[in-house]
Amino acid sequence: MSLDDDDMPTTAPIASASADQEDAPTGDEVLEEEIQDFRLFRKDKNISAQTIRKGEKDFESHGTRAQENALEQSRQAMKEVLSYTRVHQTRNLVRGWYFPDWWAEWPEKEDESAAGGNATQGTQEKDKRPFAHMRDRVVILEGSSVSSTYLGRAVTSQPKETLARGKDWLLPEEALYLVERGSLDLWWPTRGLEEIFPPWKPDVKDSEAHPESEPAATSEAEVVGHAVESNTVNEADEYDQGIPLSVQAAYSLLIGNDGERGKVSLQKFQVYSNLKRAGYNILRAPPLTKQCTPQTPSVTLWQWLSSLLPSGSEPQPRPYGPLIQPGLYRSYVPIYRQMVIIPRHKPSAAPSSPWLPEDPFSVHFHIWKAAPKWSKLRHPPPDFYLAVVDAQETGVPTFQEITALVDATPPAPGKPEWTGPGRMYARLKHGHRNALVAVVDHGIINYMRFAEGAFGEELLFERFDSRNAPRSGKGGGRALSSSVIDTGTLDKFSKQPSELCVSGRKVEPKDNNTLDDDP
Amino acid sequence: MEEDMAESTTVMMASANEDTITGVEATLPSNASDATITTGPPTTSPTRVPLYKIYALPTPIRTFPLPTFYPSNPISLIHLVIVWLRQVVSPPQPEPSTIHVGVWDPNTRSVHVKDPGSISALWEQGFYGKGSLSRSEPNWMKREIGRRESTQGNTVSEERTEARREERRQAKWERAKTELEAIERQISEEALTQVEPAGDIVSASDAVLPPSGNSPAVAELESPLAEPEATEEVAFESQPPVQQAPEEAIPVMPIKEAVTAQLPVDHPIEVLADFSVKPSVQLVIQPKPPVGPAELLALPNSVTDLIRRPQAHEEPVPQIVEAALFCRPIVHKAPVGPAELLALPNSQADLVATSPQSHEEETHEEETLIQAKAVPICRPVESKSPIGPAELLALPNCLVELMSGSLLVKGEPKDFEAVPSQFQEAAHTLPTAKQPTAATNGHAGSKLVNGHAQPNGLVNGYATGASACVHREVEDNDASISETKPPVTNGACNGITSSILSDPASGAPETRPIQGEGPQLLKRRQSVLGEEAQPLKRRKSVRFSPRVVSTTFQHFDPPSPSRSTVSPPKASSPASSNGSATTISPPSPMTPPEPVTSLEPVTSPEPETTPDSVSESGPETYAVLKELSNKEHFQLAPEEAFFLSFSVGALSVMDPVTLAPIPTEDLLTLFRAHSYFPPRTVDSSVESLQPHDPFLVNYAVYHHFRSLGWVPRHGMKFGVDFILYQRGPVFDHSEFGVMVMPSFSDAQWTEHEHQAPRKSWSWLMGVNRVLAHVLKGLVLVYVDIPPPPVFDDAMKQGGIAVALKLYNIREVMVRRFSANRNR
Amino acid sequence: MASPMADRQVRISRIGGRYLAFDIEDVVYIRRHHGICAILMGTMPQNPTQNIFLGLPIELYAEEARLLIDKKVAYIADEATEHLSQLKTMDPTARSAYLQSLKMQRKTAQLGLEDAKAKSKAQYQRRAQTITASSSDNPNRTKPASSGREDSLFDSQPQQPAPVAKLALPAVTPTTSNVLVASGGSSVSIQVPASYPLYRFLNTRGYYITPGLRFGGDYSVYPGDPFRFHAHYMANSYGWDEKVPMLDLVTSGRLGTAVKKSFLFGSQQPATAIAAESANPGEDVRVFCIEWAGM
Repeated sequence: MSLDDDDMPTTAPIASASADQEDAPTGDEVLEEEIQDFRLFRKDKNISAQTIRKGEKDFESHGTRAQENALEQSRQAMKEVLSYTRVHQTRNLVRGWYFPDWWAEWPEKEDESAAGGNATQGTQEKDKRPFAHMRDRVVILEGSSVSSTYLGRAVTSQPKETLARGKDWLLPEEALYLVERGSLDLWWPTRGLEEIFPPWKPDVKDSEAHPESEPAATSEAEVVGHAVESNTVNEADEYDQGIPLSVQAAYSLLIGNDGERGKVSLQKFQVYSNLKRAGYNILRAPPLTKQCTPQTPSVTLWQWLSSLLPSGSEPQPRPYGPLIQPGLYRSYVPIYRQMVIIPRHKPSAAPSSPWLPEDPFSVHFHIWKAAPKWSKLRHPPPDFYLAVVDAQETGVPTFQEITALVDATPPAPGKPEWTGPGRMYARLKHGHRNALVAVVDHGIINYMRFAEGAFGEELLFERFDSRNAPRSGKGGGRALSSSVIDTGTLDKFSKQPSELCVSGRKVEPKDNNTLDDDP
Repeated sequence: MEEDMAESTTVMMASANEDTITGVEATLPSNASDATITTGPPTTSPTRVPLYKIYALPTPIRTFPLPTFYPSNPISLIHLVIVWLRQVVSPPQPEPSTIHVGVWDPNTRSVHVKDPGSISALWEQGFYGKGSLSRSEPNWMKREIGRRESTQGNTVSEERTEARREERRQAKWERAKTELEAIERQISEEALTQVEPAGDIVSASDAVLPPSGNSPAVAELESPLAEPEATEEVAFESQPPVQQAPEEAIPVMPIKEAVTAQLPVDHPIEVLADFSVKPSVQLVIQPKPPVGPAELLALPNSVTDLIRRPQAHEEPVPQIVEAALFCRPIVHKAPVGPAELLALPNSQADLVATSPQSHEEETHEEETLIQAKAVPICRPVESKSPIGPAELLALPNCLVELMSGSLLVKGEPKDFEAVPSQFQEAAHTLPTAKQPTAATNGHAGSKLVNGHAQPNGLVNGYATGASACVHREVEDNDASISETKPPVTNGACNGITSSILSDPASGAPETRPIQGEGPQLLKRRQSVLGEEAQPLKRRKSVRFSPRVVSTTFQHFDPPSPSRSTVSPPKASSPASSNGSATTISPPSPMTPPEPVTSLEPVTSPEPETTPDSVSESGPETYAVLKELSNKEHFQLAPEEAFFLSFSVGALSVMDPVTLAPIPTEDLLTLFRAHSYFPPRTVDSSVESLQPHDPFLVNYAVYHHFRSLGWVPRHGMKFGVDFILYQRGPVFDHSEFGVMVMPSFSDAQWTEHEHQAPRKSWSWLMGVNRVLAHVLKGLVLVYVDIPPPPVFDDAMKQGGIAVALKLYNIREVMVRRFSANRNR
Repeated sequence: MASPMADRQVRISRIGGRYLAFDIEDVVYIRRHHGICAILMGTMPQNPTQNIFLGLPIELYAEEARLLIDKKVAYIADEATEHLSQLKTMDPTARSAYLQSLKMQRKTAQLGLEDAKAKSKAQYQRRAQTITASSSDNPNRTKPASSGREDSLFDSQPQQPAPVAKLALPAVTPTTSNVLVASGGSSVSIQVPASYPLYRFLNTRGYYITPGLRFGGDYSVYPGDPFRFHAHYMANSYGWDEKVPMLDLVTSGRLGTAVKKSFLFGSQQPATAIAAESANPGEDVRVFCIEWAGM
């Protein structure tokens, strides 16, 4: 075992190259890090690392004509690929109208409570529907797409005569994302909502017919079909109600500064679409509820005291040491107990930080991995909690920022089977709470995971005695019992020595990349 | 159970008899145990003690666990009682029983520990300090001995490391080569008439044609990127002839070449010796015919033969071609592209040798390497078996080693001829070395003087040596061993003299044949020189290894016994200052003794290096052992030192001047003050010490982890404050890198707008990437610092022990989240 | 491309305080003639379920925008206000012009669809016998295993072409609103980060520059168009008198080697800071490279 091994960055990567290491970028990420050659862009296949690896790059210009040609081709390829115009085949055209102020005055609270009454909602699981952010929804979808599983929200349980009842409304990021991917034709209305969506639209019945939870794509298509038909038969006044908007226009209308109602900041949009493209489900996180504020200080105090307890029981240590009273010791536990003076953080169920998260270090998106039964209305608690920050405007979070952010997320303990010394690294690295921070540097996004660590939970010294107890050979199972440690730690550490003598990295790396596999 | 009984009894016995033995150690074989005793010698005993026993103590405190009581087994109860009684009757002295002693050194801002016992003990208990001679485990002494007595002179892991680097270099070089060749083909295909390809053709042809045209090419090499190597590469040249030797059937041949090749080299060597800034000058001036092709080829070969050392001599010509190819990019575009690519991998290892701060280590490392090459030869030479260029490299030094070890008769004729050859080249050196730069000439000049001296006085050269050998036999041995490495004129010369002398018995007879032979050899050589130069040079240059360059650095070794006597006073002074034992290598009057010089770091941290102590030179080794004093000294970082004294009470730190122990309280203020640069003075109220003194904050973190049983180590190497081991480098890789993040959340701070400087995201990404690269996780450890008034009260009330309670520590685990992997 | 590159004025859309460009001509132009590739950030309609290839718009650095403005080859347009004003009060001529251009695009799109359909039919026949027909009967869509859910959502697989489809031209979403909004824009000041001098220094020396965050630096620097070349440097900008922590240097050096780049850091001499704005750019910047010796 060469001790320099961990000094040589070049020896480790062999391991890190294999996808073991969480931090090691995957093939795709490596590609995303590089500027891609559009000659390799294929629109009819899923682009994978292998297909692109072929793209060889040079280290310097060596004035060969081949090189110049290659570059020229790449540039041409880019031009061609990017000149593509989004076309909506009539049969699956989805049209959205931009009505920025329709919900401006909407009282959000009501929406939340009103949700309970919905008959179609499965009342037994949860009758409270997720927060709708209605006030920020600025694009109304033509045709009833109540059944759309992933995007948009409709305000239900409204009187029959309300305009465009049961219509889905999109948040700016949702609308823009759909426009970009060519799934939505965004229109600027020149008429009022009441004219575009007359109250007696057949869809109303339609919408009632569909229970909200059912994602019925086919029926969706039909519905849209009707809609299209209704306004394509009369070619003449096709543009009577409004005009279609360009992508540029969509950006202009939907992208804004942070906190602007009905808009989304560019960074947040970039994160949103990046994750959507990667196949995640994303919803805006509900605004922070202030309930945790009052008792937090008391909690922290209690925490602080409790963390002091071990040393508190000890006699006051000498001002300038030595902390450890000279004497005869039978085991290391008492020795180390005497060293405890600095309070150790103890993760607790109740958020322990006295601060409330402030933008940008606050959870803005809830994120779910792709799951078959996921719907915008019915879904398990989020897999990830994400904050979005700008790489230039912010820096590494401060103590307050990070604790507030992390504490705002629910406890996320590691896997139950992570017990014993073998899995200690896994436990430590996973932490007790965690939040993601998307660091956006001009459209290039880095996701960082910040987890509440608790080294104080892993009392390493407790195993020293078992380690040192006289034993025969390696497996000192029996000898352990001689040491002065409670049986709990006993079996935990019984296999330790044999493991330790095998140096180098053990199972840990493999463990901690499975960390995120289940929340 | 029987075993348990047995063990526990031994425990009892041990703890009763000698209180230096712990429960654990008692179970070991006796010779093993003294290895683990905290006061024992630093060496691990030859019978391999299981590591977890050597590194038994997590702190400098031993425990005396009572044997187990098994209800089923009444005897165990008896043990228990007996042991207990014994410990009551004759209690082991209260722990910590051994108080280590260190001296505070303001210059290095560390506490120096010199007692080998303490050093090894501390190391084994997880205190790694800022650094030590051995870069990792402080077994410098052991390995030094191992190195000196084993002919191959380096440890297993050193070889492994080298091999690894080798492969890397090879791979990269191969890649680059193929790339370049591809480009070449492209260019030629496209038949573009541009400057670049034209340039290639020229340089390519140069490779084969008379050298004169090449000096520009070489000069080109002194581009910002490649400056140091350039000289170095040339320096390599000195070797090929030597290695070539056995390939020519005629035994005389090698020396001829040795002469021819070494001519140009001397100046670069001199230059490197004291880092003159402009070696290029020297190079270009070189008018000597042999220089050109040699230098030109130096480039490719220095790298190529890395690849094909084994089959190097098979196809010399292709090599030359690629030599040309290889030159081109460098010549035309210095810093970028293939040049860079090549420069990066290859020069890296080589380059270091020239970079001032590190050159010492490299020198050493590579020197040992040469000896590595020497291994094969020692035997082959005797048993005339065919010898690959690799081994041949080492001829010069192995020769002497052969001699210093009771030398074999075949060896002799060769190196006697070698002697005059040295003289001749010394003569050659003289004229050209006149124009070194101001930086160099002091050094070079002096060298030449005695280089010059030797031709006309063969005899007295030996005479002095002979006289010397009488009283300083051992030093000669050291000298000779280190001596033999430099191919430098006098260096080699003395090397041989001394080595001859080192074996007094054979010393007398040997001198005669040399004197007789020397002159006519000289003549013969000149004659051969002309004819053979061309063809030889080409083949030659294909074969040598760049590593040999390291030999040039042996300037820093004690030059020659005769000279080393001159400076006993100088020798002693540095010894005291930074614990460098100068008995081995007294700084010669001509080489200004830099402190670095005395350090001889060892590349391998291998804890259980088993020095293959079986070596031809039986008698010498003991002499070496006797004379070799331990230069190892251990620099405890302030945090470690303070933890040891404040928390464990196992260290007392001495004042460097008065050598009186510093009370912990003062030690604290001392460390706090010195955690600023320049150190703050306590009295000045404005810039006085603060609760957020770097030392305090770092110590809080250090103590925090240490008190949990972790083994923190300074992480400068990885760009972090600490790295955390679960048990220590011997057992596991450190899993975490710790960045200390001081923070000021308290209202009293915030109202004064006191904020920690905000780290940028790119910084975080960088740190994280580096750690990820070495498979470590990043932990941001936020230390919430109490505001001054609160802190001061606490200090008054209960000293630092209470004040530390106010530091609130939160670990935040940071990791890149891969959107692709988690979906 | 048709437009003479020489006197082209690039429209930089300022939206939500960021700088974007939507016109492919602009993108190609600044890339070719000003060494600016910026960041493609848009979802590609051709293959919207991957993050490797991204499309329009590009987001420009403040530095890049500033550079183009200083070079007088671009103008800043405050898109939100311009669009709103245009759309709210749209005079008939502009409207008809816009609709006309739309018609054109729809016609071309129609043609495109026709032969696309023909192709896919042919393909369909070919795939008929093989079982793998399912995913690729529609050339414009992709259904990677990872995520194809939007398909189930809005544009479902065509069972059989709906009868109505024949009647109408397909709808299109143009990329830019060039026809809609007038070109030429306000000259607004652009706040640039402190690293601007370094950026300009590198740019004027023909280096291409992309964000370096991923690699732990301000910029990653390419010797030529990143299409063709690997990055050579990780670049960081420091203040002239800024204290660089030793640890950071270690990190940087190691990092450089780790990502096969040499680490470059530079700074602008404060004395000439003002003068340099006009006169030969970047002359007042000093840069160094560090490399981890890796012994």
